[in-house]
Amino acid sequence: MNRSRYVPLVIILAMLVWLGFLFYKSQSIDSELHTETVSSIQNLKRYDALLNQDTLEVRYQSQLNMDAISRHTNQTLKLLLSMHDIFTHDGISTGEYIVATEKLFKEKFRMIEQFKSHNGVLRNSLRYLPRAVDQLVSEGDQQVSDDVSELMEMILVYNLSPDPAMKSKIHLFIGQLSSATGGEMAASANNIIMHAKVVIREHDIVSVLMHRLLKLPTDQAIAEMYDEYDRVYKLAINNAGTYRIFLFLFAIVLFFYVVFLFRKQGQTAKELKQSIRDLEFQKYALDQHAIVAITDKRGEITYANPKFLEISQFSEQELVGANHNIVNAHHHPKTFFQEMWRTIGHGKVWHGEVLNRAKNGALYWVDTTIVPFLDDMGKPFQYIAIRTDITAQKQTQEALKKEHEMIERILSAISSILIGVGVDGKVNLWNKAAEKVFAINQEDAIGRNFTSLDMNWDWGAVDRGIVESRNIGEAKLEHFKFLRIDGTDGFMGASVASIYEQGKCAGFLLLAADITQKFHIANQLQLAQKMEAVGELAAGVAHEVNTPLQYVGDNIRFLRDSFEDVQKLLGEYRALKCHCAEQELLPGMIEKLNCAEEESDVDYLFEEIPVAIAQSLDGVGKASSIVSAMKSFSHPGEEKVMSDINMMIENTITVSRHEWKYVAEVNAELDKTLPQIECLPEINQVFLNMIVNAAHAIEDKLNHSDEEKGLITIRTSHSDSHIQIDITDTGKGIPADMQFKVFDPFFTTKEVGKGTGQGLSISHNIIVDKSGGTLQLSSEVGRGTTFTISIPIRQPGQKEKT
Amino acid sequence: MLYLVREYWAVLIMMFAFFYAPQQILATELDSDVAKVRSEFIQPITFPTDLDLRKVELGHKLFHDVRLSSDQTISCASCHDLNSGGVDGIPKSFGVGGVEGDANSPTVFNSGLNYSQFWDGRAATLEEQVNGPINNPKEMASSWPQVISRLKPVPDYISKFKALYDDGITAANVRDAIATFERSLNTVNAPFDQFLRGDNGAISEEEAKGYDLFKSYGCVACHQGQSVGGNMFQKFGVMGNYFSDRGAMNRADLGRFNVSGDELDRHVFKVPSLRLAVLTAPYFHDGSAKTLHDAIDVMAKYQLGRHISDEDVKLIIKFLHTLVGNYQGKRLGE
Repeated sequence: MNRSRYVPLVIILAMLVWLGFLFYKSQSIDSELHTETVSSIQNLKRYDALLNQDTLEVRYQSQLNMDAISRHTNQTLKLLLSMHDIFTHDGISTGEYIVATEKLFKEKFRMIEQFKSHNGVLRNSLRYLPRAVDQLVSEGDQQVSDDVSELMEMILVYNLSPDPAMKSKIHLFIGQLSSATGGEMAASANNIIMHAKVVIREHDIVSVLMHRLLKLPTDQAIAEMYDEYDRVYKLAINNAGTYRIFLFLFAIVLFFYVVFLFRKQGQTAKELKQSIRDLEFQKYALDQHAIVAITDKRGEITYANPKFLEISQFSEQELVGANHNIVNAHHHPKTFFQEMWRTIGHGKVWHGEVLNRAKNGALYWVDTTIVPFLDDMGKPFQYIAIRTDITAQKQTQEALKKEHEMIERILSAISSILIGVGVDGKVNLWNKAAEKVFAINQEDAIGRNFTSLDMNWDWGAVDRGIVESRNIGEAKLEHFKFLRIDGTDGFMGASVASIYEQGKCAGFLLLAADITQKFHIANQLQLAQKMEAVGELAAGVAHEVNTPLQYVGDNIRFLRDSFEDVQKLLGEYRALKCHCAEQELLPGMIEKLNCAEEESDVDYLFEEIPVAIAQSLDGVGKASSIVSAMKSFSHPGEEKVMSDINMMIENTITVSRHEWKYVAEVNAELDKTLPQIECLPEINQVFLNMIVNAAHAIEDKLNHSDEEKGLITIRTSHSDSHIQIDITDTGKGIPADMQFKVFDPFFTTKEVGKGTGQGLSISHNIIVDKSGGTLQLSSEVGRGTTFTISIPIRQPGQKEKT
Repeated sequence: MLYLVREYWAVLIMMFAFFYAPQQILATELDSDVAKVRSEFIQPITFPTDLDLRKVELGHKLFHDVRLSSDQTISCASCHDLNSGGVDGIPKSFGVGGVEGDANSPTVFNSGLNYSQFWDGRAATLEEQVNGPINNPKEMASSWPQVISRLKPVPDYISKFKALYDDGITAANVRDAIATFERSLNTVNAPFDQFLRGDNGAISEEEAKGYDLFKSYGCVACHQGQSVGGNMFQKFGVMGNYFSDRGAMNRADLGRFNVSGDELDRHVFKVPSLRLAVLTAPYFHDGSAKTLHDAIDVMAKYQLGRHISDEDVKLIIKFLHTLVGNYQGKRLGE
């Protein structure tokens, strides 16, 4: 609201009030009232004169009745009452004058009243006297008649010209008359005398009353009242004249102001016209761009521009006068529109995106701005809705949204960890897999500094990867260690890719996966391959070594046998020599022979050679057995073969000898009746692992005590269905809280580098998973551990051999 | 541009209004003389021409409405019966609860012609007179608030008052209506009035003689004018002491003294109209004169100071009969 718009109005209003005041002041002489006042004063004057006149007329019988005087009295009284109101009104100083006048008139009325009464009595007696005298005269007695006649004449004369002398004369005469009369005539005469007295008395009273009545200064009071009123009136006239001049001057000022306003208005009108043109141009421009509708405060359309008609497909006649909900698509909840009405109803601009329905049912989205037009009270009286068709935009948005949702779904579905980090180091992508693996919610991760996140992984490796990716765009981290949420160690494989946006590095994307399982499998595979290679090599070597061993053995045995023959021969030679010596035959020769005997220490040779041969044979035998064990141990193959467990155990003990021989004795209590079973050759590894572990456990214990050697006991036994192998050591034992973990891959209690932590895991795999057996352990810290392997004699699915 | 034109108009009208002072023509109404009739002590009764007949009708209704009295038993008409000369025919009227009043009820007929109201003239106008009986404990014993509260619920009054008065049912308006009605109670065209207007045959010789006697005995000194009285006060007992002769004086007997406190007004009463004298026995303020004859006798003795023969009295009474006029076209008492 433009306040300055009201300024001229306020000025004009103030001027009008001032004008009204001046006008009132200039008109403060109420001409009607003035006329009434003046005429009432004149009337009062007239009535005063009339009353005087009436009194005189009544007195002198010009008026025969009191009607006129009574009427005039009443009228004067009424006039005075009305005048009282006029003269005491408006605080005019004539109030006291009317009061004085009223007082005088009241006195006059009273006198008139008394005058009327006394005049009546006087008139009665005057009228009666001649009649009474006539009657008396007709009745006789000349003297009395003459007397009363004379009295009557005197009375009548007195009545006409009252004279004190006459009055005393009458009194004197009455005195004489009343004493003279008597008898028959006395009553009549006395009656006449009484009336005569009444006439004298009443005449005087009436005369005095009339005199005083006429002398009452009522006319003077009226004149004074009039003068006062006139003075006040003239003063008021003067004032009014002054105000009138002011009024005139002020009217001129007002006139000029109004002229000024009109000129200004003319100018304003011109400007208005210009701005209307501008507005029309703007409206034209708006109509070209936007869908425009104007509704009244109830939502009835009063204007719809061509674009609105075009998009809604309604005609102008259909739209104008209809409620705007004609295009409502009923897509939005009721509260949506309630909220809109509340907003614009409060005179606020509403902005929103609305889905509307065209006449043919086609839906279209419009970006809507509704502006309420407010009246002077600040209440909206119409609304203008400006809309832009955003259907295409909306559809794109929708598609984009769908796509986005799909990506979201993919991201959350993939098992790999996906972490996006912006150039500022803040995490901007954190998928479900990451949540699961690191136990950090997306909400907690997004927006936080990547390096500040609590991830128990090999930060060194990750940092290297990031740096590398920054340099060459991408980095692969084959595997690095991390702590899984269950507290176990795990391996993670990752790739870090730098993200480029418009040629600039915009962070990196880290794609990682928990590859512990995979890593484990790969390890196993590698080990198996290694084992296989070693096995093959060992088998080859064993085979190659076996052949020389064979003929070395044979030759040694030949040498042994030959030497025995040579010994026998030499014995014969010695016996010959002795015989010759006894016989002293060929002493020289014998001598020479003894020297040679001494030289070659034949006795020693005879003593030692068999021993050497025996030892050689033993050595060859041992070598053969090792080669043979190696041959069988390293026998590779995935297929199960009938095996003698006892033999396998013996072989294993032999092969692993170097692992245990310094720390323990091995006591094999083998069940001679143990049946052969079909099993994987790999089972050797299990026994090997067990023995090696046992040796390690004993070695650990020996390091901490002064015992010389421990004991490893391997016992085999069997039931109808299973064979059982117990491997007991006297090592340090496994604490109870770790016993359940020992079969986990990579679990190790050994020093770094001493074990892979895979031994028991692989054993477990072979016995339980591959052979359908069980692998159990019982252990006591400080006392030792017993692993119990149980393998079914008949493998599942294998028919019993008859 | 239209609104600009409109505003030019406004300015023109404004300026015109400021400088134009309407000229008022002064009119003063003066009372006109009565029609030419015989120059006599007594004048014919005229009927007022300025009465609002609706007010007369409303006044008539109010005049007969018992709501005006405290116990709703008495209306104005109870003591001023229009069917019996405007009086109740008993020496002193009875108010609510059968209480006897102080004075004889004067007739309501021609009361508009009276110079003042009540025997002692304590009310200057008929309007003022209405206050008397309403508030008098020996008459209606009510009050204006009570009367108004009783009239207000009556639908007929509501509409009638609304039509006649801006402020509806008020004491002043009730008084106005009743007074207006009473002003309509003028008895016109009496035989004597016809005589006064020049019809010599309107009254008989005897009646004319009665009038002569009425004049010559001096009655006419007080009983004159249209109402044959009612336009002045006179002392009761000019030629003798009526009250000491009668005895048993009460306050009402003091007459106008009760109003003015002036010793000169002791026993002064309004001279009653004789227009309906033949219909309004008993007579005087105390209702002591049972017949007209008695009244004339008393008057002759105490007011005129003489004796009037029976023969003359009868003639005067005959004359008094000619004074009775018509009300609503019908001669009263017939």
